Amino acid sequence: MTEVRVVNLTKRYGRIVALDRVSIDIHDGEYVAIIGPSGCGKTTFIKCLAGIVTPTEGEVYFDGKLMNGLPPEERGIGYVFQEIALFPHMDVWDNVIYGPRVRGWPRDRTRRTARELLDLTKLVTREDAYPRELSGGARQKTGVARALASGSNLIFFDEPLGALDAKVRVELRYEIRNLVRDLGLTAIHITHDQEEALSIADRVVVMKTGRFVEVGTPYELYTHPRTIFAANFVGEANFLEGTVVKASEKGSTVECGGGIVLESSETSRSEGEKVVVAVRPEFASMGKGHGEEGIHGYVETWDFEGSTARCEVTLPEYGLFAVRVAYVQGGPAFDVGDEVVLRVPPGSVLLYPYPSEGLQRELDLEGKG
Amino acid sequence: MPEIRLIEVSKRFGRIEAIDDISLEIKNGEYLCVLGPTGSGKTTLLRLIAGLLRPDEGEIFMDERRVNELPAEERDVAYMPQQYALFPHMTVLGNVAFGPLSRGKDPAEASRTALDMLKLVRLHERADALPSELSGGMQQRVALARSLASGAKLMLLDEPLGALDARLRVELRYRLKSMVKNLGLTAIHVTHDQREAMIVADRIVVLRAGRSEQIGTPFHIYQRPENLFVANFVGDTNFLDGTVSKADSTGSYVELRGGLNVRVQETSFLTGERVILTIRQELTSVKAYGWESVNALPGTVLAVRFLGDYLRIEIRLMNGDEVGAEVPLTNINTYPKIGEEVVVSFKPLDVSVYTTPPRGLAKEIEVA
Amino acid sequence: MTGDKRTGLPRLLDGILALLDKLSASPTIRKGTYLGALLFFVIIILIPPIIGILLKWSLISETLQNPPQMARAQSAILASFTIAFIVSFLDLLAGLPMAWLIVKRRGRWVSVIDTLADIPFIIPTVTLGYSVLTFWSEPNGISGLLDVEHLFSPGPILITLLHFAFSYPVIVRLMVGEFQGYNLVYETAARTLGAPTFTAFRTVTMSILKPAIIAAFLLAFSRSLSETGATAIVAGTFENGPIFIRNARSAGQEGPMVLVSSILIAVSVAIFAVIGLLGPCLRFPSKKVWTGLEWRLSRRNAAMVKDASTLIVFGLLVASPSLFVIFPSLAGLFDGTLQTALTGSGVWAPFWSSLVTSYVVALIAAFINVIIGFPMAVIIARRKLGTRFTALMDALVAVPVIIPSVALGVSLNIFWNAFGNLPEFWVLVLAHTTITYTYFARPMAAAIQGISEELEDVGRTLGSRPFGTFRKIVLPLTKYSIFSSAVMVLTRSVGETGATVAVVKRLQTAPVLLVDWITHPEIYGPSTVGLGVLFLVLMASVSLLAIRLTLRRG
Repeated sequence: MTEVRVVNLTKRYGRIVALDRVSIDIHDGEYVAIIGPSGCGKTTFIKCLAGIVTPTEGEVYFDGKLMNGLPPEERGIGYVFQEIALFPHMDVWDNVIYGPRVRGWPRDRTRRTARELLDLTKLVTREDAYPRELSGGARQKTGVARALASGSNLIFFDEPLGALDAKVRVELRYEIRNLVRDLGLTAIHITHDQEEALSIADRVVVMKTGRFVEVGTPYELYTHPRTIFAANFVGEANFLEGTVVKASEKGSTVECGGGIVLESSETSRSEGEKVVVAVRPEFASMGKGHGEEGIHGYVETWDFEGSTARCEVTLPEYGLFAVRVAYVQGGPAFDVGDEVVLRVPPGSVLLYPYPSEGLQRELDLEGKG
Repeated sequence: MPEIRLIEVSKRFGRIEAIDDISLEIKNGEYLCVLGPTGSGKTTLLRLIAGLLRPDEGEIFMDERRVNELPAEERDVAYMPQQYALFPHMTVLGNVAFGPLSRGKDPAEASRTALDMLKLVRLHERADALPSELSGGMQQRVALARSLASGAKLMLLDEPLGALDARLRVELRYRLKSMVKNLGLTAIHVTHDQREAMIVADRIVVLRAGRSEQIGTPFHIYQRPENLFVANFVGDTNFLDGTVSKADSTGSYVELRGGLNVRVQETSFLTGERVILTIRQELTSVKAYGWESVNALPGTVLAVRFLGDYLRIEIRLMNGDEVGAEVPLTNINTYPKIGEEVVVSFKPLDVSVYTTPPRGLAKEIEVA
Repeated sequence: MTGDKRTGLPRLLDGILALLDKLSASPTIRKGTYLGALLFFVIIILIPPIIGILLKWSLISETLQNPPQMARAQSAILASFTIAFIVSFLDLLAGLPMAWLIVKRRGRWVSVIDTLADIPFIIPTVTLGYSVLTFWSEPNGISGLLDVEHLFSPGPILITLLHFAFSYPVIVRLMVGEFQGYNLVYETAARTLGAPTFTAFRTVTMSILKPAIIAAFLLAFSRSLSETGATAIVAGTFENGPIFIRNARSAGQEGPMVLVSSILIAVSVAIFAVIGLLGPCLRFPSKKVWTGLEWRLSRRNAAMVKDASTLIVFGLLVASPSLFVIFPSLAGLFDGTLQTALTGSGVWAPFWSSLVTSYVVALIAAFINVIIGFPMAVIIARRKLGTRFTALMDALVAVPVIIPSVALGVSLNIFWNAFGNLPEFWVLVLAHTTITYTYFARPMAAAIQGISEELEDVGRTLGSRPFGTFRKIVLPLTKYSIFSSAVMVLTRSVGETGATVAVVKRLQTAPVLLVDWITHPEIYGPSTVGLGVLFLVLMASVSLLAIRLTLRRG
């Protein structure tokens, strides 16, 4: 169990600000994921926490003890690198016992711990293999076992699954999560894959250009993101520009061009305010017809995705709107050109103040905005 | 008339059979995905078609012409490797104009073509930049423009979205496909990501260890996987191990470990045969304890994974088997709790039955 | 298609390039080029040094039966290998921490140290020999200072000090390159696992860099075995292999000369083969960890002590001896000798003509090696002839460096003169080309390997023929390597003494002439020698500058 406290952590490289006064409190046994586009500073962040990079300003505390100035070997952490970096001249067993060995543990404790971890990661049969003989997944697991073997209570994962195939990534992330939970550790896991983060983290931090844009539980971040960037980064969303025409304690009504009127359950925006509306494709429902209430349009594209289908609907005078529906057995329910009616429950209509620097900058997924 | 035809093509590296007896036909204007795990031979297949490798056996035809001996520079293809391989010492414009220049166009015309392509990928304002100054997404677009500018009718894309962040990947795959289609090109797109293949492909070839496991439209492969490997690799599937206990005119009963029984609509298996049942996770429902229906297997909730627009609920059945159920977020009123007793239910119609493989299920569906 | 307004030379050039392009499309022509380069290597570079010696087998067996000659020969050979082993080991010990310092420490003084550390490598060894001689054994040097006249007088100890100085930069340069290319993540991983810096270095970094460390050792070893001119200056009456050969040649004793040459060749190749093959099996002890001690060694004070002692060793044993030659050189500048030198009168006429000879030979050798070595580099880097054959070629390309250059010269001389009397100049050119072949081919192969094959693949699929791909993609990306490797060849050739001595009687290259001057102090005064040395150093500095500038850019 380790509690982590970060206060105003800043890192500058000349004029480039890699970390800009970030602060966070991470509780005992919490699994925190940090997501963001490449170059947003997430790796710099955990490297500062691990002692691999020295921050320009700010403090880091583990269990109340100040870590600034301490090198990584004195921080009592585990770190799984993006490149994994298994020692090529040692086999799996020697890699895993490296930590206990250099910490001077007694022989039998070392052996016991290594055995246990190799069991948990199902690597026992590969004990004598060298890194070059292992598959990507096995290498990854060895890296995790090695980091956990030295008995640290705080583990850092730096894009641990990046180099793996999609399917293997999905399997392995749950294995890692279960392992960390069974051992009762605190973990900070950085990734660019939001689905990965959502599926295993207790809390998720969204980062952009050195700043924490938003922090929340996966559910909160997905269903009610508080910023446009998070709304766009953590899953897909449709963005419309509009003006609030009515606001009350029960909700707001927003008028977006092209005759589109949406009801939202949000109450924080004021009448006349220019807003951005976000609606996730999977929260919109679609039905055939043209007379009923709702937003009218016609099907532009229809893409089969497996268990779902993604459909782009052209809203006349507005543009394309994406909808995701569960796939109905037996064939497509809609054809290209079909006239459809879209309905969005007010709880899924998210409102944001119109950004001063324009919508496009906020939506830039590479975070250059 | 098919544009590309592979007939019983094989390629060996030393003793390893990288491509093993593959036959394939690709039509003009088709967007084909080659899907498979790392090491399945996807890149080798692409390089064979590109002319960077010679097949050891079999023949390759392009537009009815046998091209086995034709060198890469004379094939009408554009090859985009996974890391893009942008020429680091040339500007963006230089990179994109390389193809037309090599094919004999004069510099002025080559630059014009290059700028046109850069406009298409919306990078014409960075024409004088060096590749090292661009972000990953921009580099990808330059690589794409370079391939398009060559004027080739066939695009060979090796994990074109692989080096990008997950979110960017999702965003760009639609654009990639529509760009290729709008220009009327044929494309072979290699990937290990089945979701990507599902969305962009007209047809998919599933590859494993150099062999093609199944060829078909995304719909076809998803609904009717021909074997367990494909059933596991594409989509999220539950596997249950059992023996056929009774068969009648409308279906059969399969007995699982611990005496649980599952009703299926299959009639072609004999009593006593060992089989593997597969059910898609989105067709698996989680019901309250006590629920009764044709297939209602009691179990306990192991984990609830939030995946954005849906939940995956992992359940351990009473007999120890583990299954997963995908439930759209909109269908959930209350989250099941870990440890809660529930009932797993699915329709007999949704169950597929396969003969148990001799090597066992784990080996058969092994991906890593 | 109009718009093609180019005429004259550019048009001709375009035409030639287009022709080469078309030729390269033919697999036969490509194979022919590679085969040609391969044959040239085998027939001109590899075979002669090995066969030459064998042609005089009768002389060898004669000498074997002559006890006094045998005794002298044996002690000379033993001396060579003993000194080489000791020097290489000490150089590793001193050079590794120096390389680490250069790569890890920040500050402008670091690049000063870096450049200083290169000097003994760039300046011709003859000048280093003179500098070492004056530093350690002359009255105004260390001997005079400490009043230890006999300790540092010409002999084995001085030879060891000399060899230590000129092999030091070899190790440092190689290891600096390795440390820079070394992915630090391994060491960082070890530290996150709880290992202090010393332990991480010892148990992880050293094992990963083992091949480079072995290569560095072998390089220093071969340099020590090979060097002739400077060793002659500081040897006095002591004899190691190259000195023996030099003396035998001037005394006309062909038998002993050929015998010692063949033994040197055989034993060198054997040692390299053994170490090369067994090297991968060697394991640095990385299992046991002495936690207490290693934590203390990782503390900042320990690091400072290490840095300080590294710098002291460098300053005392390498930098000062190398730079000491400034004094006699400066003396020569200001006492009137300069004017005599520049008019080319008296002893200076042969000096200038020897300098011209040196550079002409070097330039021809460089030219040949670039043209012929490049296809060879491609063969190795792109494994054009299959993996196993490539590994063999890679090893064979190293042979000219493994064989001590003086022995190589003896063998070559025999070989080429067996076909009738070739003019001395051309045998000299052949000898220098052979010796410096590796200095171009190996780094070039490494540079080409560093270029992703995918770049060429893409070029080809975009329609570019093999020659076009080479010209537009590979060449621009390796031009700095081509230049710096060519300069290396030039430098090495200019500095060579052993092979020159073995091959020519009348012609003189600059370093050989200088050895003559230095070993006859009764004829040539210190100002003359000092000035001669200075000119040579100045020419070499131009090369050093050229390499520095291209390395920084490339």
